Amino acid sequence: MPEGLEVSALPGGNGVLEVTALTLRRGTQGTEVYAALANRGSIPACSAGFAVELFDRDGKSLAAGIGGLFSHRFYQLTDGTDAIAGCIGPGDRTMAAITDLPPDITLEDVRHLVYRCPYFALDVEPVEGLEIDALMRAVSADGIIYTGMLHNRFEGPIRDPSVTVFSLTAGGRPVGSTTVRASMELQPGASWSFETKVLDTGGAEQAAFPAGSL
Amino acid sequence: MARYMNRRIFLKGLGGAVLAAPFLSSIAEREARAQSATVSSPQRFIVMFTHYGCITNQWFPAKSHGPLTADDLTPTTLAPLAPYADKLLIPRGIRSMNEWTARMTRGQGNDSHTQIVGSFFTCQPVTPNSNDPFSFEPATKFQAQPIGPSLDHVMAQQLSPSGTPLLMNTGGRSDSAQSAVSYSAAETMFSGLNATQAYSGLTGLFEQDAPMSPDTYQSIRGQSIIDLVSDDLSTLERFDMSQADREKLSAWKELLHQTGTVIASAQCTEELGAMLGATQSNAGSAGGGFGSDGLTSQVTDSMDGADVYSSIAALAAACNANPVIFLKYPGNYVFSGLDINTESHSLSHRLDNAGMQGNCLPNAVEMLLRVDDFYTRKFANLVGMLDSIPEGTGSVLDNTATVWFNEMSDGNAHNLNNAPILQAGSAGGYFKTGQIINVDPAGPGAADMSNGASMSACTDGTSGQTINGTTQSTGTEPSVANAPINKYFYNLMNAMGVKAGADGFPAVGGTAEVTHFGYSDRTEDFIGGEGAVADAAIHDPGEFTELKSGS
Repeated sequence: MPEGLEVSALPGGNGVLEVTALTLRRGTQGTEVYAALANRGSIPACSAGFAVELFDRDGKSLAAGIGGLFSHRFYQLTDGTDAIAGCIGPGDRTMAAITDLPPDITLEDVRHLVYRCPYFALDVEPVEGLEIDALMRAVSADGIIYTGMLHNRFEGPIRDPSVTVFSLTAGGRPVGSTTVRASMELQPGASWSFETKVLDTGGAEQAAFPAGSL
Repeated sequence: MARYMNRRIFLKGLGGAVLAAPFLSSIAEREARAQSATVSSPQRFIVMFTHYGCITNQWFPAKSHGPLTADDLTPTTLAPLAPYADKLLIPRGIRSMNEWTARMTRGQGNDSHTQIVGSFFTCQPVTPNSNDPFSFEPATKFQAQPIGPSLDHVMAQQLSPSGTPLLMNTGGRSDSAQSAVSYSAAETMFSGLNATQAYSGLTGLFEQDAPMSPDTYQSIRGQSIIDLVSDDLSTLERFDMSQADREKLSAWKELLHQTGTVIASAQCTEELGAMLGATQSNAGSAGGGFGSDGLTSQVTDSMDGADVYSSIAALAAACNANPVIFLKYPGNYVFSGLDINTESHSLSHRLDNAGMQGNCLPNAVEMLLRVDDFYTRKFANLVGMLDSIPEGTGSVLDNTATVWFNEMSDGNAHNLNNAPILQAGSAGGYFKTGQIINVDPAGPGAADMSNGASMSACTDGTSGQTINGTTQSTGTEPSVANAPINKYFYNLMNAMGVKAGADGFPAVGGTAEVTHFGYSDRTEDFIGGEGAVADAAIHDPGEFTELKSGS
């Protein structure tokens, strides 16, 4: 993270999610932001996003971007729709990667990062969903590859399952991420053995999050 | 060569071109006619785009069809526009495309903003698609973008010297896929300019100490081509010429009469900019940015930051810098200058966060009305600036379609039917003005169409009531006000001179009227994204004839 970068929540409506660690760096395709957040409130934050805007020392806006916040927990709406949402429960940790910010930003010019977290605060109850286990890392000369198993605990099939793995510093700050996706339908009770591409920003630890389409 | 010729360059050579024309081929005559038409009626399309809807019950006048008077506007949010009632057009009963609903009944299931802004001016679905309104796949919810270009680019490709619109991000803020409305091509977001950048782009057009030809001067004074070249024509008519040439000359004189007055709106000068408030200094002070509410901050005694952006838009219009000008207001904005400390998205949900269910934020509706009033005053000021610049027998405003579009109808319901749309200016006589015109296919011409239900929740000023955005109870009954916005876009494109190919879709080099635009004009066709609905198409081609003058 550039020295002197000030990170703050957009006043007046960020809600229950708070940044606990953040990385701003130059990636291979553009400027990248990785963030870890925690739900400091008492309600689940569902279908949540993490939006940032970067400003220079004069307060001029340099760029804006938005990414989804991943979750381990899944909930069913109680409004009769039976819709399923991924939610960040109270006290839960979540992460986001924004990798499509313009490449022409000079990181040293960025002085302020303002974030906000749109999410649905819904009447929901927890249900079983997607689970990841057996997460392993293999170090090579090019970087790190992650492998593991994704299990579908939903009552219905999941299309196009994906796993996003964040590499973390020893302090838990995300410094990079990689996503692996399968074009398949994962039946209830079935599992998918995944292996990511090489991630060149390997950290001391990792955190993996599942996703997919109902 | 640029298609949009600098007026002064053209006028300086006017006489010669006019007098030579009768003796050129018929093709040259047509070109001359086209040139004259371009100069005599420079149309501009100016858009003010705001987010998160409005309190519809207060925004719309009581009647939904008929003559529009100042008395109709005075009891409404639109009261500041009462002085301009005879120059306004309120098309009622229109729906924009790709509504998000909790049960995915009127559009894709990506996100209640990402898909709306992406589809608003493109009428295209976004990609990647989501069939899950509460998706936990982040790419579909926040990164989805439309599969085609937006209206501003489609128009600018045919009309603008640069081929791109002038897009200004008021407040000096940047957009992401959840707020961007301008796309130069499929999945290609277009970045806007801040005030300083936009103003700097105009200064190159200023003519300082440049000699003005007599023709140019007289044209600015509002004289017609026929006046300017009358002496030459009289001389020519005294020549001994064949009957055929005499007939040609007579026909050419008639053509000049038909093309009418060559109108030069005003001089594109720094002085005009100063009169409007568009100056380098003001632009620098209106930038907005980090931690500041640049929109409402006073820049001069009579102008705030938003007004400065409007003044630059007015100057750009007067200078014919670009015939397609978009003023994009920011999303997720904290109007601290209006004593509102809740960011605008959360406020539109009437909550203290961006959720969709919970206890009402105290005074939420009152604060929303304050935001609506602010936007109305900004639009009124923009209209006033354009109307203050003389052009021919009227004003620059008269030769524009200056339109305030809002992302949605009610901000809590996220409904896209019953769109609050307000137009000022007739685009050179193309549109009716001084009218509210109900084009709703469920009851065209009805004067009692619903104004929505924005006042049905959170109105007591306390947190005692609850609100649930997923039920859309504060919106408008979905069976009414569903005339597709595509048709209004056809009106606007035709008014501006955009041409279509044989299929009716806008096409560079086309010669036909625009009758088609976008993926579909039926919001249900967007369910499932591109290709999911087998007969997704333009089902009702052609513009709203009711909006055209003379109809």
